[in-house]
Amino acid sequence: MRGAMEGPRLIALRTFAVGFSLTLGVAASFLYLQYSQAVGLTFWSAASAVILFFSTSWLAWGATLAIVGLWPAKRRAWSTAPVRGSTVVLFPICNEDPVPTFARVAVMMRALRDAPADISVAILSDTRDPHGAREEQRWFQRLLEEDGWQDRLFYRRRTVNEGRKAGNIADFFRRSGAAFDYALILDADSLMAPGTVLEMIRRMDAEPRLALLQSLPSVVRARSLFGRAMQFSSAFYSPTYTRGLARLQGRSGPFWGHNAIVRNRAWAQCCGLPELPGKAPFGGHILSHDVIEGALLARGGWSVRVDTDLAGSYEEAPESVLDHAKRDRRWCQGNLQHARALSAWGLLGWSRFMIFLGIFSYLAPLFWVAFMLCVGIDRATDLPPVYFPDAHQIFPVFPIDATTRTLSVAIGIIGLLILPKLLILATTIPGRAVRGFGGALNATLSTLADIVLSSLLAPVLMAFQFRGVMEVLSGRDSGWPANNRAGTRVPLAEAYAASRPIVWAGLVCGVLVWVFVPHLGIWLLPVLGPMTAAPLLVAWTSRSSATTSLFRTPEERDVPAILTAHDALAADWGGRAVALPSEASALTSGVRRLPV
Amino acid sequence: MGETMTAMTMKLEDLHLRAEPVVSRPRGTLPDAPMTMQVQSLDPVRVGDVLRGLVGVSGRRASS
Repeated sequence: MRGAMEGPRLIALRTFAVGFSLTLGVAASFLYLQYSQAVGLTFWSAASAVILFFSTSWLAWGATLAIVGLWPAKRRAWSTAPVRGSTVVLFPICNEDPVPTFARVAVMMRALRDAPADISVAILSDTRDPHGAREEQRWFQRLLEEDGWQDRLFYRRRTVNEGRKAGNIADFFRRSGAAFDYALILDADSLMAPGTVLEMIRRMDAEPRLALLQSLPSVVRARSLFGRAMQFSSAFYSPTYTRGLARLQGRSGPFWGHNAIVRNRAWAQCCGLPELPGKAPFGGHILSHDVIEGALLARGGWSVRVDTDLAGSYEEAPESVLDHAKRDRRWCQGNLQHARALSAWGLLGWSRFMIFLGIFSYLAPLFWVAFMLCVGIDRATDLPPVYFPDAHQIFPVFPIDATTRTLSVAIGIIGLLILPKLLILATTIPGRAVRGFGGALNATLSTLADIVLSSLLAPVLMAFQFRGVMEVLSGRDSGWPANNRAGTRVPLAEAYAASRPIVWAGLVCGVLVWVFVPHLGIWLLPVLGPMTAAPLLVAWTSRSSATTSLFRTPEERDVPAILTAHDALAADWGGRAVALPSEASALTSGVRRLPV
Repeated sequence: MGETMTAMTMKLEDLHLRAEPVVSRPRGTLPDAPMTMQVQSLDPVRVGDVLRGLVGVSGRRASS
């Protein structure tokens, strides 16, 4: 297989990655136990050590991915071979603003119009609002006037949204999948350069057993402080982490649901998702369908792969902590639902491991909360040291100073969070890529700012995750709220209303720490401080970024042509009255007669 | 009979009346090219399957 490691090398690398993470977890746990023994081992300290093993192993896994991905991949020349397979570009949409959405479709169509390939475009609408649906149909009529696309542009709306997004795509395959060899699945906020689309088709052509090829989308067009920090992380760190993941993937790579091309025959064969027995949140339709679809393709003997060199793939991201938390709540439910698939027959071991990690990523906040609780209870119930355990003793017995061990654990954990970022910075600075981030100084300042900002926001985000997990475990369904792509600023009152439980949890815990374990206050301040200040952080980070030099990304420096074209078209369509077909003509055209 | 049919076809051709494919699909409608989405089973792995796999007998259940 081209590009993916195989055989003994793959086994060795996977063994190293998993072994290294577990070893660091054991080391942290062991050091903590030593510290506990020095001050008096209790049930609570032993429990803390066990929990610390899981939490540290999880953090270490992230660091391991970065280490494995640190060394650059060999440059692969993009193919110029003739494109053979016919492809349909799928835009699944649901209650989206039609102007930017259809502008995306239009610029992709224009960019691909003269491409030497058989490419069609299908807009698959799940929009429930009748007014929004009528607007979509009018914009579709407008698109039908585009030259050269009359027979290659399709629109279909479902009125019954069976299976949500996965069901929307499955419905397309049931009706029309056999008309094309491949389907390029995009999101409503995705864009892809035409060269990237063609290269992905060529790679599918070249490898008949490749069922799914995932690109690494770059986050673009962020405006708020939070959004731009995420955008910088995506551009600066993600390629390294994803390269690490790609080196470990074998033929069971990741699928992130969009900006990926699939082989239709393989998809139909393996990706018909069952409805899970029982009610939501654990039963019903599979929310995070992508992970399962990737695992099922691998189970069917196909290859699933992410190629990190596929530049020219773009997506947008939430602009505020609240929008991020809303999306994360859906992902949380979806990932926890995967517990039902973890033991499914026939899955490859690596697929199963990835599903487990996906579940654990949402359980990690619970482990940290449990760790802090155990430590707090342990310290609060700690007896003062006995200097003269024997009544006839002349010299006192001083407790062993375990400060060094405690500090080692703390520094190690912080290091696992920060060190990968610093390593990525160190390896980026000498190369040409650093220019895209505004040069070495700017990249350094951006990395440091990201470390500070992510440290401040981590407790707040984890608190939202904790709440999400609790809601799922108590049986509350998240539904499928539409993403807010407008990126509006969050007022302080709204930020407080959304984060009130976090503020009160931070305050109550702060008081308890102050009363019962004041000496732990300094350790818990980085957690409880941001929780108490959550509304301020949420509101502040949703504001437009005052400076664009900090968190600069290559796509901001040299704006890709496809983005420029989209922005110009969306501004044109949004800024003036575009001659749209009348509602009556849209309804009496072929669109009205589409089966729903 | 064969000759008659050929003669008829020739005659239609001469009259430019060769039958065109019927276009019944409105513009923009998805092509009619169905695929069967095979619904997969996520049933848990069974001990029996594992044992059969160990002794070399295929234990994999077909998709439902």
